[in-house]
Amino acid sequence: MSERTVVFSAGPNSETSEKVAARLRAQGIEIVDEQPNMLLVSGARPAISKALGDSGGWKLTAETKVAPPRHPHESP
Amino acid sequence: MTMASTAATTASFDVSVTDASTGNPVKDAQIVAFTDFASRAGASAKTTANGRATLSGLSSSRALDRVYVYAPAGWWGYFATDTTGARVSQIKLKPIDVRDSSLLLTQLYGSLPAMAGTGVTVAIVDSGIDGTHPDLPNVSGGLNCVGDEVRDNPAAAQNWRPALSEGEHGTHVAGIVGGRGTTGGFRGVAPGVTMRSYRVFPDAGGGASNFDIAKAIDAAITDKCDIINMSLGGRAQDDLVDATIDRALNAGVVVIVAAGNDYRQPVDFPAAFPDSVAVSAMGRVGTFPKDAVGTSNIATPKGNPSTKDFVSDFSNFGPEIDATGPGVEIVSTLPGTGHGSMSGTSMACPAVSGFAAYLLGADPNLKQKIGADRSRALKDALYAACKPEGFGRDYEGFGLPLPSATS
Repeated sequence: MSERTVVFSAGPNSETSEKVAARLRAQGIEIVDEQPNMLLVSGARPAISKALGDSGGWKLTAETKVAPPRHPHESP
Repeated sequence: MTMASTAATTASFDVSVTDASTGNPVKDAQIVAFTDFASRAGASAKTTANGRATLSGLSSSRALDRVYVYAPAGWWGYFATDTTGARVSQIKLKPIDVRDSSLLLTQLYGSLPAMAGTGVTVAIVDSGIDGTHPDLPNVSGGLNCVGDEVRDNPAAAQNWRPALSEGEHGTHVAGIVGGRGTTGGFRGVAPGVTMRSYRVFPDAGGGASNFDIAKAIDAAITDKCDIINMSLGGRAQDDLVDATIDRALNAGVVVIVAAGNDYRQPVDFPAAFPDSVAVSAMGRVGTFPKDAVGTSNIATPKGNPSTKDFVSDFSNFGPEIDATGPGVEIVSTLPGTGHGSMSGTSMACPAVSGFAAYLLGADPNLKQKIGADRSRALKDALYAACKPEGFGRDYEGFGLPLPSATS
């Protein structure tokens, strides 16, 4: 799986995800998943950042994983 | 290879694990024996249908620093120190009785009303819940938020049941929040609640994506949940989940998060975000058998004046902790029809969520509030109900939420 980036709304007065998604698609960015407050996109981070431009209230972050709950379970 | 070293590498000893009441063999008990606990040197094996397991590489006379037996559903585990293979060759596991009044959840919250939390909905963002468990009739539905399972198969969105790999966790968490068994049977903190399952851990195992966690929080807000329980976290600070928790608070939803089980490391994220209610794990001597694994989690600081109470050795701590909850040897529901004991801040967190649900359900003035006013008021009410155990601020925040503190 290639690295993916989350583009997300960080404020109540942000542009709609539809508008942001349309702008990204117009710049050739592949949108993997679209939710009302965030988009999961694929591609090089600089290209995504450039395509996002100055979309009010939207930010970028890497898709990361939280490990499964780790219980105090000892093993050799 | 010398003869001596050949003998050392081929040494082994057998352990028999049986039910202490019936003498029947116990299958799938995980035995872990350490010759040197500090370096985690040792061996492990799982019992088969005849209740026996062979630990390879260790002779029966070899000194063992520690022995742990992690039991399958229905039994307490086992723990011993400074022993030998010969001395632990026959281990008898005590069966768990969910009606036992000495269980910690029962001691702390058994006096709450039988339908505490009525009218309140709690979201469980976790590994999925078995809504067919007889003690979980109040799981009303949910959503599979694992995007990689759902994008190519929209029908999979309904798979909010336990993940096929490592899926027990969410069902145990749900039972603590609001298990509702038959009268005299198992109960969680607030049996009157409605629960919804938002699964973020994938069937294939592995971690939960921050995108999927944020999606789960947003879905819980849309579904009008009142409280979100997140017994998950890690070291990475994530702006996406932080922004989503902020959205939840502004919608009137309180987000309660486990501090993490990294043995006294800093509080994990998202628990460490200022808007989260971060929960550490405490335990109480006498609420589990003396030879259960929980004995290994007893540590300082102890309570004052209640010296039977302690902060578990595994609990993370720091200034972000808001409350502590019962998290050592907590008995709750497991997928299927059974019950088992688990330890972790993952267990302490849903106890606090259940208590918050009780407070919300019992206070019409709180329920009338909307938006950030409501979430702030519920957090204030929760903190006001906390009783300091004497552990210290970084270990317990405002303390342990208790019914007596509210009356």
